[in-house]
Amino acid sequence: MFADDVTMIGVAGRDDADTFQQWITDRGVDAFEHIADPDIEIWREFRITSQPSFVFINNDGTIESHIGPLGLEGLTARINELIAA
Amino acid sequence: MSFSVVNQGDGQARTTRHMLLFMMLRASKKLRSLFVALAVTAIVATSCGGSSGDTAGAASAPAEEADQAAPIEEATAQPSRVATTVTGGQIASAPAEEADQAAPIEEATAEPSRVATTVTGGQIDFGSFEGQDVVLWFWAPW
Repeated sequence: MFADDVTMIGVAGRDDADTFQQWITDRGVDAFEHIADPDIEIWREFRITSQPSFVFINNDGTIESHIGPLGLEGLTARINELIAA
Repeated sequence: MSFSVVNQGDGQARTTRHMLLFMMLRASKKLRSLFVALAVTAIVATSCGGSSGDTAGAASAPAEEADQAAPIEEATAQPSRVATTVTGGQIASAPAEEADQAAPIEEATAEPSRVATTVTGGQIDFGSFEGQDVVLWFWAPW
């Protein structure tokens, strides 16, 4: 439903690439790209202090972050907001 | 399963500092047709066993990121602050600590082409996302 509207990217942190890849395969979340961020450099750039967390980058340059989990409904709602904004 | 599906309060925080990084996200729309709907479901549930291996758009060149990392790493080498997530505590990125980190991080991100390495060894250029809606999902395998 969001395929043409949003680009989803995973940012995997605090482990090595092999472990990341295994986790992605195990969880079946390989439909999109995942950045390997073993030293959480990108996490820090976005001030991510825990996982899971989400950063929503609007097409106008606005960035909002959510630290902590979002349920399916919550994430869906946030993505819809992102698309609408 | 290390993933909670419980809905949490909204801990969003706008940061103008991130505008710097976002400036590099402006570019083409080449990754626009990723299967995000699938992704959303998978992220939240993390229960599907599928593994189609569809990693669109990844380049094959290896990463050359190491030199960019040094200042950030030193500035933020602190103990992990992960504990609160499980209960959904909203960690509004600690102001005191962030202030010290701000300068080197901004310098590091204010580069014309910020390229990140994917788990498969490809590269993602943040500059290629100009004008797009992008969701970054930060996760770790524990």
